Amino acid sequence: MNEISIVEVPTIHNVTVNERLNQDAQKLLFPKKLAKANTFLKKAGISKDILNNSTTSKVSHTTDVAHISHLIKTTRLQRNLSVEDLAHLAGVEQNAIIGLETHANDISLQIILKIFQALDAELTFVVTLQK
Amino acid sequence: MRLERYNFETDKTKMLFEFVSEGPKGRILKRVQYSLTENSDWVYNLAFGDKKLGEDDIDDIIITDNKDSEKVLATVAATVLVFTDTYKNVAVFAIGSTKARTRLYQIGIAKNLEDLQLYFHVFGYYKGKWVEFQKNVPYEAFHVIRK
Repeated sequence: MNEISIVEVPTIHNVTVNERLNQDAQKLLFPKKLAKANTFLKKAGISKDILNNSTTSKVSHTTDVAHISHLIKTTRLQRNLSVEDLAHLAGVEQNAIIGLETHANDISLQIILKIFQALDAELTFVVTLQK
Repeated sequence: MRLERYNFETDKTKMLFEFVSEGPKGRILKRVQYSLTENSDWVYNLAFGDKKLGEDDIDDIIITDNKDSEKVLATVAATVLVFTDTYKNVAVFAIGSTKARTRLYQIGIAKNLEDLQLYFHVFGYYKGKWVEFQKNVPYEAFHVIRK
């Protein structure tokens, strides 16, 4: 089950979000380093058993676009679906999936629900009122 | 983390971080980026380097020695905390762009192991397998999992 919580949890660091970085965040800034990591991990894969045998993508933190994007992509990969497959199953344009997975700003709740339905994943919203 | 570190900023996805190193060579903009590795939905590569002014790309190999490597590494470690606060159940992988830089990571982790272990399980790759990080072992690469 994928769980999205919108409970504000205490963070260790108060980090300033700088809008200027949003665009650069979508670029791959270290292609050589990522290539080296990929090559290394081919011979030295990390077993997912290390995560207490958990295969679910559980996210419990402040909901924002980035987290929803992460959940969608993670769940799609767990289902071994391509973007094209998921778009077909959900009855939406491929661009909608690509946009969601790359942190596009405008997300229709209806599209999100369609996508998780197509992924056969239960979506739970938890709302906690702050004191 | 109790170590002295630089303040840093991030983007809305908390996958890119930026801070300014200050030292004898002046103010140097540094960036840390987390990227999903190939064929994985949970292993992220940590990469960092200097950002050249006026250019989009970061120098992938050369990191200016501004005599503040401990403070820089402490700052990078703090970004791992923020990243793993945001993205749960992930591994953060790191390997140096050169053997010397991997060695520098090794020293940095070893020096701050007790602090790191408050928050992370720390692993190193040695003789063909991932093992729990111990001091004075020359690892080829590293990864951490949030506790």
